[in-house]
Amino acid sequence: MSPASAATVNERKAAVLAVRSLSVTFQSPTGPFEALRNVTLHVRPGEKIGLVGESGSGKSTIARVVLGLLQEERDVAVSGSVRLGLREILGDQSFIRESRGDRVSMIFQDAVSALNPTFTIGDQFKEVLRRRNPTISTAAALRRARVALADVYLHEPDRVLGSYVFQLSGGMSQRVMIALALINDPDLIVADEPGSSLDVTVQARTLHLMNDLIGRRRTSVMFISHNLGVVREFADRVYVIYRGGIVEHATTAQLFADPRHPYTRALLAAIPRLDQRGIPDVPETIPGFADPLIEHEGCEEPSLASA
Amino acid sequence: MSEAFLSVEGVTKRFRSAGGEVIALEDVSIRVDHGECHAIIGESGSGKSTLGGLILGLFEPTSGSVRFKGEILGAPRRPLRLKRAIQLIQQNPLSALNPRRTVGQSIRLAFDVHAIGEKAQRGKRVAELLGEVGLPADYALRSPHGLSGGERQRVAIARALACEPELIVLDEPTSALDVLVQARVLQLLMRIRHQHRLTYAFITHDLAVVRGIADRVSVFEKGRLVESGLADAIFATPQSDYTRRLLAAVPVVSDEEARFRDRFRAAEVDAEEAED
Amino acid sequence: MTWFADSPGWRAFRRDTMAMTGLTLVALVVLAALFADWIAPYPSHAGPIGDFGAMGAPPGGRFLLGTDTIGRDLLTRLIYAYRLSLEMAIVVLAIATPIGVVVGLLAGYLGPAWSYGLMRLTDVFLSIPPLVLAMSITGFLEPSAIHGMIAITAMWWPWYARLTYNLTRAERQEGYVVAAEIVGASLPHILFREILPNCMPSILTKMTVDVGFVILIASSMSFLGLGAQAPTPDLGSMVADGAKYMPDAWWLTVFPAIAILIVVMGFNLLGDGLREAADVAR
Repeated sequence: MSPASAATVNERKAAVLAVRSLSVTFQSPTGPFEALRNVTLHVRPGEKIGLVGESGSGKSTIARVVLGLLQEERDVAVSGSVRLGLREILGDQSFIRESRGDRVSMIFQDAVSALNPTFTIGDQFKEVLRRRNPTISTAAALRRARVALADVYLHEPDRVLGSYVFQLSGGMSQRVMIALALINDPDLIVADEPGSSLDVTVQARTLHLMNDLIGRRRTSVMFISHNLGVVREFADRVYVIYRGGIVEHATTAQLFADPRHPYTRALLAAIPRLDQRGIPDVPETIPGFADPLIEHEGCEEPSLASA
Repeated sequence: MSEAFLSVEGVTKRFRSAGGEVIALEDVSIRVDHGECHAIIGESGSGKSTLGGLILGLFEPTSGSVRFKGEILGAPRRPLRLKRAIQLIQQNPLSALNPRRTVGQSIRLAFDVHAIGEKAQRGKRVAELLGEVGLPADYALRSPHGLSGGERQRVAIARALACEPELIVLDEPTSALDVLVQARVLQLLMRIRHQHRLTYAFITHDLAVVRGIADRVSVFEKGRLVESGLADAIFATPQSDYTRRLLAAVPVVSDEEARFRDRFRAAEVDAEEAED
Repeated sequence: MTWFADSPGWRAFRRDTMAMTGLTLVALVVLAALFADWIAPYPSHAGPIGDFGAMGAPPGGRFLLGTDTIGRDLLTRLIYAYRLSLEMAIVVLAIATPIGVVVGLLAGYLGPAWSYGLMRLTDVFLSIPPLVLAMSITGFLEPSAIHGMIAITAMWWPWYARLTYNLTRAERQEGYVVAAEIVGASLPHILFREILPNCMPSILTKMTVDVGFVILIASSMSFLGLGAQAPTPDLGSMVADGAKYMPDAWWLTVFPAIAILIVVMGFNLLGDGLREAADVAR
């Protein structure tokens, strides 16, 4: 076959992220709530995976575990395994704490509230750059920040660096966040509903930009969204999550051409079409949502033996 | 020319703000016919919600007029008769219902305000309305607390129907809902429109939803009407660059849709470069 | 008070040691005041006449907390003083709260002119130091428990006006308020049926805390001789009267002061606990 498939074999040797049998249970005043059930997924180097599900499906909980944020909370039980590269992060917070913002970075839905309102954008670049290189000088940090801002098409980098987040538009803040997420050349970016609070045209442009920059760097991405259309345009491979469990796993092409799980089929069938009149008929109850995971051909996780 | 059901005639709306005046709508004229679903499309800052507020009487136009069956719609002290005829379904199902009133109390309010039906029959009528929106009658006694977003939105629809309105302004009624729920609520809205011979002013940014339900479409950008016409015509051959740009940005889930959409992408690239 | 019956809130409340301490103190004070006639060892000592054979008796023995200079049992008088204090606080809040709430609702809901006028009026009252206002009112009138209550009421309602105003400003943006307007509901319906019920948790919490503060202010006034007059047992005047006999008859000052501390602290802790429980319930 082509040389590309040989590269894929190599890449499989070390998944950037490998989540295995992850279960998360919250203790709430009304009793335990199982947010994630036996979730297994992986992200290979340079790969963009999509994690798609409705609100409350647990997709953001996965992101919070991968970023090590959930483990710091009270009243939550996490079991299973989460590896970043070869390091296990469950049970040891030190590694993920060091890696956050450096090896692993994040892009959130609402950049305006994700950025610190009390520091200038320039200060935030310095802070992030110092996570990788604590001795970097202010001048060097700002130099790198200017280049990063130019990459996201912010044409007045000095004005942006001196601004606070409230002085920027939603689209600009989103670009700043993308630049911040990429500046340390991370192994993995976790993007949770990026741009979904923006207007459609701005969102489309933001995603386009993100796709372009990430593609050039071959950064791995875990892309979380409720919007199947957005996932279709962004991801190479997709996990569909329903009520805390993965129900379907396929390449993007496979999933949209041949959805197999009743839940995925129902979701796809329920989306209004841009090219035809009428609203799809969705019955009040659809059987089979609780059916076991369906994994398409060629999507299996690289085995541990080859790692 | 026959009298329009709802007509917006040369309406400009300015709001005073800290930094001076903001022009929310500028010289907008549209016409909504009886029984149609008229989509009002735009992004944030387009003025689409301002237009909804003017129709509902939340504020007065700065100049121009909004007429309902020939009668000028003002804001303050709008007669109850007109309030009853024009109802609203809002975007956020979480805030649409008062957490300290039962579902039944929320729906029943309209009967008490407009003296609709015999007092003794009102409880029964609430149950009928709940049935009509696909909820069990015993929901009347429940607090909104335990209801899902879709259920709350159904209650909000029942509350609007309780007024027996002629026109409903729907302000992004399904954008906060999950896909499956959205489809069910949209189906319900369409069914109700036909059964009650309602007219909809459907405010949204979701073009796929518009394609699904709208008869006519008005596209707004930065307070100006950029295009208005039959939905079929606008989706086939949009006249303005802005409409094409909106169409080109829609994330889609099938190859057929992608082909349909990508027709607009070539034109869009030039426009975007120009704007940046 | 459905917000209180919500189980998550109540659970959080029970786990909150400070809140439970407050509840216990408040319960003790309220029960003592309610059943004073049965609990107080010498109910007749609430009046002008005591046990002349036991004037100035120190704590212990027949008189647990000692007696005053004319032989009245201190414990009895403190229990009856609690009764008076609670009565005053309830009357003051029962008048001040509705006035403040109505002013706040109107100012928060109606147009800018109304809100400007009503809130400036409120600010005027708030800008006068409370004790000064109360003193000038009792200066006009004669010092008495009733006039003291009028004075305190006059300075108390603006706080409720301001609280309700802020809550109402937030409420009027809510979808259900807009929906009620569009359905055509009347102003009283919108204010009292849609908005007010959602403000009640905050208002009730403030009232709880304020019971303690009203008692404190009332005690301060009677300490200065502007409140209840002899022979009515009153916490503030008991502290003042006892101070003349410091340090020999220390119990005459110390125990009434502790009694004030207990009731103020009790209502404060309870109020804080309720606020947090309401937050959890939400």
